Amino acid sequence: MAFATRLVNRELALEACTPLAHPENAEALAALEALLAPPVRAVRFGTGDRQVTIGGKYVVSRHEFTYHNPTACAIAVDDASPREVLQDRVRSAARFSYNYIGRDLGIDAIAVRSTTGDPARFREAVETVQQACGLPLLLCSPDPAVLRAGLEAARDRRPLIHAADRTNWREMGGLAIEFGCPLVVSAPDDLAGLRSLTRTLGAWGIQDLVLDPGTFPGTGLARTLRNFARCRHAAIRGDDELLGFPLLGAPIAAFAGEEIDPVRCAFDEAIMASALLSRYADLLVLQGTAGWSLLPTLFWRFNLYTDPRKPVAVEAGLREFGSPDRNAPVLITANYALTYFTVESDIKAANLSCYLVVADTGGLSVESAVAGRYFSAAGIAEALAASGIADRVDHRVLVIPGLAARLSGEAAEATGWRVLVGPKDSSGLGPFLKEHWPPRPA
Amino acid sequence: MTPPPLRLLVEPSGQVVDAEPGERLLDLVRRAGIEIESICGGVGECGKCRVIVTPRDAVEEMTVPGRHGLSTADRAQGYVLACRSRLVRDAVLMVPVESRILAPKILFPALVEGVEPEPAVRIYPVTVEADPFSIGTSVRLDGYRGVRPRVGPGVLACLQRVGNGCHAVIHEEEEGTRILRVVPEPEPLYGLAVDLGTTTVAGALVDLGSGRVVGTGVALNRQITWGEELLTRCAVGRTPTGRQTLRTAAAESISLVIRSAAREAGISPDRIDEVVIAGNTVMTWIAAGRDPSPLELVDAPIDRRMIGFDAGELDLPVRPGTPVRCLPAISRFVGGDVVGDMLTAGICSSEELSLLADLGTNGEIVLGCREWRACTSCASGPAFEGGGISCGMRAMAGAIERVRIDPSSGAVEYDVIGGGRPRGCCGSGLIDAACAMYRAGVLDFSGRLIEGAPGVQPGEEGHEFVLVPPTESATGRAITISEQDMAYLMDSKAAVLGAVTVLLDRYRIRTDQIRHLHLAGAFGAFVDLGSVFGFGILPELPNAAVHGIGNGSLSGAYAALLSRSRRREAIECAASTVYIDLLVDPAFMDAYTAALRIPEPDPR
Amino acid sequence: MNGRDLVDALGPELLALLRSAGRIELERFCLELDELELRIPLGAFAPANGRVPATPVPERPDQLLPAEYVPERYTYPGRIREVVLGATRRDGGSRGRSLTIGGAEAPAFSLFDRPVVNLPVIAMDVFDTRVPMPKALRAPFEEVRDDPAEWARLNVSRYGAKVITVHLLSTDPLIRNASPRDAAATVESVLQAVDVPLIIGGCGDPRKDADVFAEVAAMAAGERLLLNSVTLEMATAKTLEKVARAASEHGHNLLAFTGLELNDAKELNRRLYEYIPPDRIVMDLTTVALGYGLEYSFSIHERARHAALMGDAELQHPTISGSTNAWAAREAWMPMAPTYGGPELRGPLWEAATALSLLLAGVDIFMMSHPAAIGALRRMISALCAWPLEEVPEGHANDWVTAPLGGDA
Repeated sequence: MAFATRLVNRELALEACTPLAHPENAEALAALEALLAPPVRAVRFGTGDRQVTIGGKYVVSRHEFTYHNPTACAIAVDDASPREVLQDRVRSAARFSYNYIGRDLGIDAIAVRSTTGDPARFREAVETVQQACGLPLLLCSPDPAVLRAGLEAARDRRPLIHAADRTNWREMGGLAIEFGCPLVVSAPDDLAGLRSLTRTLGAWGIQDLVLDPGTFPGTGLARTLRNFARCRHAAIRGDDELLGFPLLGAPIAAFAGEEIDPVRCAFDEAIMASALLSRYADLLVLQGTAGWSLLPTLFWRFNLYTDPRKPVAVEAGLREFGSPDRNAPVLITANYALTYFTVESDIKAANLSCYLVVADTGGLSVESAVAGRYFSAAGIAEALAASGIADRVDHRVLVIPGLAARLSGEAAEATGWRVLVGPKDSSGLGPFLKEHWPPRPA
Repeated sequence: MTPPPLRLLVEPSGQVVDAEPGERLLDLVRRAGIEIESICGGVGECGKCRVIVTPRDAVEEMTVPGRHGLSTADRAQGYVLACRSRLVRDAVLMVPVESRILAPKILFPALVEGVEPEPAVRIYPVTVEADPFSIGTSVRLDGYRGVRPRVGPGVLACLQRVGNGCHAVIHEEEEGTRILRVVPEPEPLYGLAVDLGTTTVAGALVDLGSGRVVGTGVALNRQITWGEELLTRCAVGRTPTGRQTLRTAAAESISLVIRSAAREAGISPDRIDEVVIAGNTVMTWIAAGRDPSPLELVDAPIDRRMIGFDAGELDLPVRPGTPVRCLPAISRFVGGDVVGDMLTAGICSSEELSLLADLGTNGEIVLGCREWRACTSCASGPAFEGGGISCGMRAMAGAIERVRIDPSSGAVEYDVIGGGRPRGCCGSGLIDAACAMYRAGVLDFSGRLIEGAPGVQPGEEGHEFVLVPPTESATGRAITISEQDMAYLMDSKAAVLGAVTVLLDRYRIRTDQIRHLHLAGAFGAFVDLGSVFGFGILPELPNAAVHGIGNGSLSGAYAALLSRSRRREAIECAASTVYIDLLVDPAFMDAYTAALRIPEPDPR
Repeated sequence: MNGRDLVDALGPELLALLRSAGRIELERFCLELDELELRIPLGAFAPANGRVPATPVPERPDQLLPAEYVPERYTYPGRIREVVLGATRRDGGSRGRSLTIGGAEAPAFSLFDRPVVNLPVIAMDVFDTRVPMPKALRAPFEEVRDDPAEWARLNVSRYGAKVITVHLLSTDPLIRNASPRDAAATVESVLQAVDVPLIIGGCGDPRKDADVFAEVAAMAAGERLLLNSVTLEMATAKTLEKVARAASEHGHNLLAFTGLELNDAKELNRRLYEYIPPDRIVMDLTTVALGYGLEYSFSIHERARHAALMGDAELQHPTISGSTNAWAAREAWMPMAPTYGGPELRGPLWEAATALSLLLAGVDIFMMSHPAAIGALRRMISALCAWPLEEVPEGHANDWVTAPLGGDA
């Protein structure tokens, strides 16, 4: 029973039930697989340890359960670029990394677009991309001959191909079967068209499909969001198998309009990406590679896909940094993962020797916790007591985060310690402690 | 110590040219800026580069292969072949009239009108705006609705600083839009249409707003030095150096055309914002820097798309970023020049069936209409342009263009271009002559000279027919048509008629279903249709209106330059026209053989 | 002469010819057929290797199978109340116009099956004292930072603000502890400087704010201010009733602020219903910066809106977002490596992205600061609220696949 519950919660996979693997249970296994299968199909592309799974969604809103398979972000390159330019772009995209609460945020895939329409050029481009990085690929062209050339170069890498539409679906379907790769179906602003395509390709035995209802920039975003919502609702609430596939969003469309300034385009792209992430996109194609335009997208993607049932928290308790002696500063902070890792990194960057008490604020940041009364004078007192810090230091001076300044008076009362209000941002800890530690006699 | 240079006085221009001992006379004459006939490319085969040198022993002659050498009579008069002679002493060189090339005129058809200007090159006002409600600085083109233009980072930064109110000249095509340059005030835009012919390069400078041709230019294709024949040039193009040499030569010729046209228009060449080239497949590939040697294999499949590159690759006197676009080719033998003809003739947009013939060095035939088209190429040879025939010459001053022979008296009457005494016979004259000779009983139905017929006499190699006696000709020598000449003419004519027959049969088209006959080039401009049908080059087309489309390649390039719709039409046309390879088509041999006869004149 | 005649003319002669011949050989024979029918009797040929053909594989359809799409339309039993901000002369105030927020009958910007009842609104911040602010954030307002009235005027005239939020941070006992009277004077100066509705922000101290709000409410009676905010802490400190009654009596709205907890929000509203009509209550469920917990704000707003539409009357209030909080994220203002651009790029983008997610979660009014972020959100609101939906231009949807996009990043 416990196993079944965990299965339903998707904490375990069906494979974990070994008896089901026996041939005589095959029918039961199939039935269970069908029952447990997410209404939005999980589609895998790429191979090896960089392979990406998109879709696999069970709910419309994350608060109904949680989202699975974070939206994959693909950076686009085109086959008209000279080789060196292509290599540089791919390498820097693949190398992009930002450390956020102990995780590395980065790009998941490369989308290779054919702007020349020339199969030979496309093949060369795909080869160049593969030599420059090991990321999974999305191959984009409306011309089956061009895609074939690309697929031949990427034969063993199971790329996702874009896209089958009402004019080329036969050839695209043929390619998908021949090369065993997943296929995007495209019908701009036409959900009946999408259903028709998925139905027909399904009859061909192709199940690994991705929907592209079209991403329209500017005023067209309303239509885009509507189509995304309609697809997702139909799949999950309407049991519509024909729309039960991951959604592809293309914020890159911000670069296909009349605006020439690349900074404006990248800004608009980032805004569109944010909106599409919030509205069910399982895969995004992006053009801007500057850190400033990628960061909000990668952050929001990470945040949306955290399990709402479990706040991202670290364990409460006492941490030591450097070699603190009995006169070392005592700091206190919340146990929201981002807060903790930020404070930790700032302490290390400033080479401080100190103690850090991590209070259990239910996984909320200092500011939220203060506002929500999870970080309160009483809570601070409890945390201090539980940490046993009193035995480690001779002084009784506590530095509280600047954002909790309003608690200083009450906290002093509750703990019996003297309370110093530290900087609002932990990047200021170094200078702060330099000036205020050791504390002047009260 | 290096020997002092030799000096050559070239008459009649009076120029003095310095020379190294042993330099070829042909090169020296060219260095003097004189264009001299050399059909075979300087290997001693055609005999056209004859000059007179005094003193006689100032030159050393190399051995002469090939049959068109100098006759003993010629030598006695002091002629040598410039391509086979080296200078060893100071001398005086006279370029005789028959060896001089006078610049041919460009043929412009009436079809130049009627193309609505919608060029790829356009100008738009630039709006640069920074506002507090956005980051960055917006740059937009007012009224432009296409895809986001490419602009270099330097130009972008400059625009964002000072560009508001300026104007951007853009180049828009399917592959994308580019900002070519930025100017403070709106200005007229110009483009260049080029016919990159094997022998001649012709160009028209066009005002892209109105479509008016504001300047023209013609030049010989300098590649001739490396070979008159396309195949010869292909062979040269096998090596990278050879390729570059040929490419440079083409570029030099185009540059001459640009300068001439720009001078006429009164503008600077760097105002040209696009160049559209119509050329045969080999010419186009060479100009684009591609290796032409695969085209030596007759069945090589080719890419039927428009070829594009930037002018900087050709070192033309235009801005290096100026786009150069070449009309697409259909096959190794049917190139952008024929696609240009098709565009000019309007075959791709007409509901009515058309037959198009471009009979130059090769003959290209196109049959079809808007819904379908088929084309083919036959090795008709240059006979219809006057090549390969002993008295043949280009259509220029001194060329016989009309011939009539009184069937009863055998008297020959002829018209000469420009009046005066004839020097030779151009294509239309030869065709007239052949038809007239048959009707006068000089030829039998298979085109052979009939021994004993009036005007037929023994010649150096077999019999010959005297067209013009020595007393009447400008050269003092008789103008004759030999057995070999007739064999060549028959071969050429049968190739064309055979090709047409194959096309008509393949698509089950009767001659009376064809509503339009388009003839390109000088052939279409000057030839007498009665002789064309009478000699049997083309079948009679009872319901066809005949249109001479002149330099259809140049007009096609013009249309594609001026109108994006026409350009798209050309691309779609090239992509969807069927090419019939006569070399592998079993029907051709039969059709050719059957065509080796001159049709009976209609008794009516 | 037609075929028939030909046969008649030649026939007899041909016949004679044929009779005399033993054998006829035709050369160059050509036969043209319009139709040829061959009948192969069953069983004429045995299978080549004697095997029975396998079960036929089902035909792959070679035409697109038809399919329709019928949009769903949901109706919800509940609807969000409308709250009016600001009062015109006719209604007892002095504002140029009132603004109505709320009124939603369906989840925001989801199925787009009906027009938006009231467009979401953006309020621009004014602070009555110098608070530490990243340079990129205060740059547009440097000249006016010391004069709230001027600041408000600037926001309205240069930046087109439709609502102004006056943050009375000087009243914070830990900052300047300004008196309620001073605070009221500040509010009055702003009321005179601009004619847009105002939101009045306190300092967060439950007792001080109560005093300040009471004074301001009385001074600005009839103006329909939105008092930002009342909290459960005020209930604990027993100052809630004072504020609520003052708001009710003097015709103002209340912003009920709770910390990411719907039960708290409901509880606070319940308490407020004792003193003030429900259509004068706006909710603040807390906005946390992107990267610092925005997903909590996002989900709680989605849940609240859904519950309200499903009939939970205690949550049927319009919501507000303090999106300027986005600037608390270091990524918004910290100097970083060149690829991350400067704070003048990152900051506004951070603020816009924060606000945008909440816009999609149904938030009705935004407190924002940076003009570039405000511009982005205004454009988004305008794009998403156009009704009926704009048609998309034919044939350009997938331009991004094949178009050269300017070749840069």
